[in-house]
Amino acid sequence: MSYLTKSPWVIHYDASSCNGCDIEVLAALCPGYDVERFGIINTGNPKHADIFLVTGSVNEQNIHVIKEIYDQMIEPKVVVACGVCACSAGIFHDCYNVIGGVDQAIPVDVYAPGCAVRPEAIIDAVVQGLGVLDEKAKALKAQKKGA
Amino acid sequence: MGKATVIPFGPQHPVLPEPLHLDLVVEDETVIEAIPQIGFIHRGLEKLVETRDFNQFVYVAERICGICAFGHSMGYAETIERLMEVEIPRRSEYLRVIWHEMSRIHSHLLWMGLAADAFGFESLFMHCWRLRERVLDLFEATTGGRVIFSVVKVGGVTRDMTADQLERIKTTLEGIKGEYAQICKAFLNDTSVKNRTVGIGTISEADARAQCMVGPFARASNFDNDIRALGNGAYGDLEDFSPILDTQGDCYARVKVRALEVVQAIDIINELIAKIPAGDVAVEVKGAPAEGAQTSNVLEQPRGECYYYALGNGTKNLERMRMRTPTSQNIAGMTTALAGCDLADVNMIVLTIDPCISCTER
Amino acid sequence: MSLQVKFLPMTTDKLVQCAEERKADGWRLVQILCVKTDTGINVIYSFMKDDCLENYTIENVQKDTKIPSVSGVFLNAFVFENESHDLFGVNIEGIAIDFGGKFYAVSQSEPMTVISPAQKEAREKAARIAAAKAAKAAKTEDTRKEGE
Repeated sequence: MSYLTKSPWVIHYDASSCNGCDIEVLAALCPGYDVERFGIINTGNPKHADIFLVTGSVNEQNIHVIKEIYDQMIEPKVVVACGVCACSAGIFHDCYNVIGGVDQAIPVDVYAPGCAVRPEAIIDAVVQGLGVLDEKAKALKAQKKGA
Repeated sequence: MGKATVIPFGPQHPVLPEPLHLDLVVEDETVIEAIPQIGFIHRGLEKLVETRDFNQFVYVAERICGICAFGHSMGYAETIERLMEVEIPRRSEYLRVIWHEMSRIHSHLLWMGLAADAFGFESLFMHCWRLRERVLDLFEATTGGRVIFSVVKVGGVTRDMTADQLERIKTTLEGIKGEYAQICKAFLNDTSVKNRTVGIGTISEADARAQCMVGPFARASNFDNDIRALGNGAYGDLEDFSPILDTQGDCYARVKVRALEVVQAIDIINELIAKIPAGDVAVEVKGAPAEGAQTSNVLEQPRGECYYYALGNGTKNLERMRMRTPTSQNIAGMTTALAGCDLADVNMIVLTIDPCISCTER
Repeated sequence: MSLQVKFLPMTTDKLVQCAEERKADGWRLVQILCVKTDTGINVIYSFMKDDCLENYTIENVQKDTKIPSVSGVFLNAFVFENESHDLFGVNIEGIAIDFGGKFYAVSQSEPMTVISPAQKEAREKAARIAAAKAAKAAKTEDTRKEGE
């Protein structure tokens, strides 16, 4: 396991979510589930973050915001779509202002369904994300060696 | 005299759980004006009445906002029951109010945690949310969900609570009271907290009335509008209910009002558990809303008064459903409170209106 | 006391005067909403005091009708007036903070007035079924009358 995955920092953004999944993301950080004991910290700065937790079915105004946050994050990075709205727009799939899930705007690595997504599912998704992060870090290193 | 700069605040900001954009016009460190820009959560779900019938729409109404989820499903069901003139069993009204007051407790604890985070007191944030977990456990035991419950339907509620579950609610809430009192002491008596909240973002009673503010935001400025006093549903069976008011109108007053409302909610729940009648929990609703039938309804949610309007067209789909949520009423008040404050106080003031942008924009 | 709800008619020229009277009397503006009907858009203004909730409906507002803003009387109206303009295309003049159509920045303009093809088909089908039912009922009535 690379050093990155020992303490991944997360950045969280609510992209047109009802807030249910966001409060479950925050609940994961609080006593009860306490992911901080694994070294996970919620940061506000995209350049400090390894994992991007997105919630919500994305609407037109939010597309450029999540693209900007995604572009500002430094490689290797992982995107976790939390909640069924982020996976596929859920119950709002036929709303006029919704584009249909986060993967319509940025590439997603892990999908965590649920309405609202349970903190256990978020932790599970982040752990799977760590595996993906590890692979990306190795690929990046190999690429640098090869160059 | 410095020149004016515009600082964009949001939509992504660690203190904001939801995206809200403010253009802050500042001179040196004082905010002259704040222009809000919303629209990041607008999904357009009011149009979904065309594709979901009036029974299915309860699930959409719940998902307007995750924090006020129960309030919206209850308000929507009450509106349709009023529209179709359906009388629901007394027991289901009591159960709805018990769940709604527990929702109020969880929402205020959530807010207090975020407020503590906003003024930099992170361990207090953790303590509030730790207590909140106990309330969420109660929700999970009685409804199966922590955030979105789906227990309300048009005609009543979908599940009953056993005597054991009611007893458990009572004991858990009693157990919270002691620790909650300690947290309140930190919020209301601690000097460092007082430095961040007393005298900040004051709104006078006249302004509160002129701008028709609602909820604890208004009650902190001595404007008493609390829909629970009207006595709809099981609220009418309470011995005496009086809204909690405060005259100061600053951030400290808003924290105080919400902190005291939690204790009031625990008392309401205890009173209703003692009085709950036996009986059915739902009636079957046949048919559809009549063509041209319209009605409106109000409900006191944790953030304030919420207005619902429904218009039927003779089919199972409603013609129009409208939910006006408390935060939309309070946006004007927020812009007034922000004028003239320090830049470092902006996030505190924005948070004290308890913004629920997903409710506002639907 | 419990909630009393009333629905009353209103016209655009009496609107601001009514708002001023209500404000002087201690009522508060609860909300403004729009409903799309076949003949135009109905705009509903709601005022509340104590346990009385009054809804005033301006019916059949057309595209070119100009409605005066009440945000001069009640500042909190600007949110609802901007929303009515963005989602329904209602023309309101003099909004205190006017976002000029960019309040919600939706991808479709006036989305609440759009009827999708699937919806239109469903409505036409419902109308056909209702017409057939009415015709059948009329026929049965005629047959019954002849039999008497």
